[in-house]
Amino acid sequence: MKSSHCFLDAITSVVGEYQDPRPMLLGVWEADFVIKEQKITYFSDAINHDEYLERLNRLYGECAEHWYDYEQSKPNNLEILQELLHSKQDEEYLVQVDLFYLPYEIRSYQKKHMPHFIRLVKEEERFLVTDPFLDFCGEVDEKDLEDAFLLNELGGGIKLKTSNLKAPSEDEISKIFNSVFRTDNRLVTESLRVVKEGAKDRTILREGFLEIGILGKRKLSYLAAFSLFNRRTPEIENAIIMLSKGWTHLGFLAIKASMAKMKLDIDPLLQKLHQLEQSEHEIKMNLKQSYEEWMNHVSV
Amino acid sequence: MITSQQSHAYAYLKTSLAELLEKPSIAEELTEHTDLFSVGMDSVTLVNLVVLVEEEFDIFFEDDELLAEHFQTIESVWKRIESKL
Repeated sequence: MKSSHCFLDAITSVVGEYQDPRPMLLGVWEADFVIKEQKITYFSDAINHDEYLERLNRLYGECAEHWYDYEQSKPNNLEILQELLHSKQDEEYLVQVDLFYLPYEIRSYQKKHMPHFIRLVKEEERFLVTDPFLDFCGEVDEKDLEDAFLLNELGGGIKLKTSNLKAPSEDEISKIFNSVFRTDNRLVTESLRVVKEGAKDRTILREGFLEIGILGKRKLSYLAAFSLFNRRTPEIENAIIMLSKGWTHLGFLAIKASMAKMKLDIDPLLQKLHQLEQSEHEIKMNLKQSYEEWMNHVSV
Repeated sequence: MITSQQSHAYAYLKTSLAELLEKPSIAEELTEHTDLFSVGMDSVTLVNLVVLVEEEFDIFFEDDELLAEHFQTIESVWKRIESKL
């Protein structure tokens, strides 16, 4: 599966070793984001992953819970984590870290603070990280990991009891699809608002869209949905990949428009957003049809 | 065979990237096939590089050319430049 969301990529990489992980990605194309001082951002203390935790337990049986205790300090949570990693049960641990402190992600290392979920195991005295979103698997220095955990602006951690994972039912998949499917496009709506603000103050265009590529990657979760409903054709795959790249492209256009030496022109940004909205609407209608055909098939 | 124009472009791109990434030593390490995202190029660096290239070679990239894959390696950037000279 193509990576689309760090938390869910870590979850689905664990689930995928035992069961079909695709239902976990339904609706991730519209995963939550916030606007913080005109910046569209994927992380905030106002965003949590409880919805996905609940979905995990609905789909696969009681298998997941927070190990991270939000009432406790970071050092206390580090102790909790170390004990869990030492206990070696049939559990997998997801940990939120700040990529600023992890050298394997060169674009953010010592440059940008980015809360991010990884899978973590301890083998003898080595800490092994699996990071499906960034396609990294390997040993990470203990001090780097401690910094990435203790100095993270936010915090969080999930444990999955893998022996409890059951196959998801079609009925539950259907309920989840119907609860997440929506025809409006909040990312387009909010982006339009930021672009219009950017017409008054061009610096907003640069800061506003710095994380838009990460949000654009979430559109790749449509691939899993089409695959789940048996309609992942090369044409659909291409349309989804182009949609995801289109958001990255919007980010490039916004940065360029924000430069003082360039003529400030928001029309290309407005046109791009209109195009992205149209493309995603077509994908959604196609997906809805695929789902309905799948439903007819499974209910026969 | 590498032309003098191509050779100039490669040298210019390596120096510019080293400055944009604030890593002077990287100019020596970059080859025309190095994945520029793997050495730290992000969206801001990419757009800054685009603008520098436009000025240096007196060319203009259309909005729809501003795609990550066109600027992934020094060779791919050169191909974009060459098509406009």
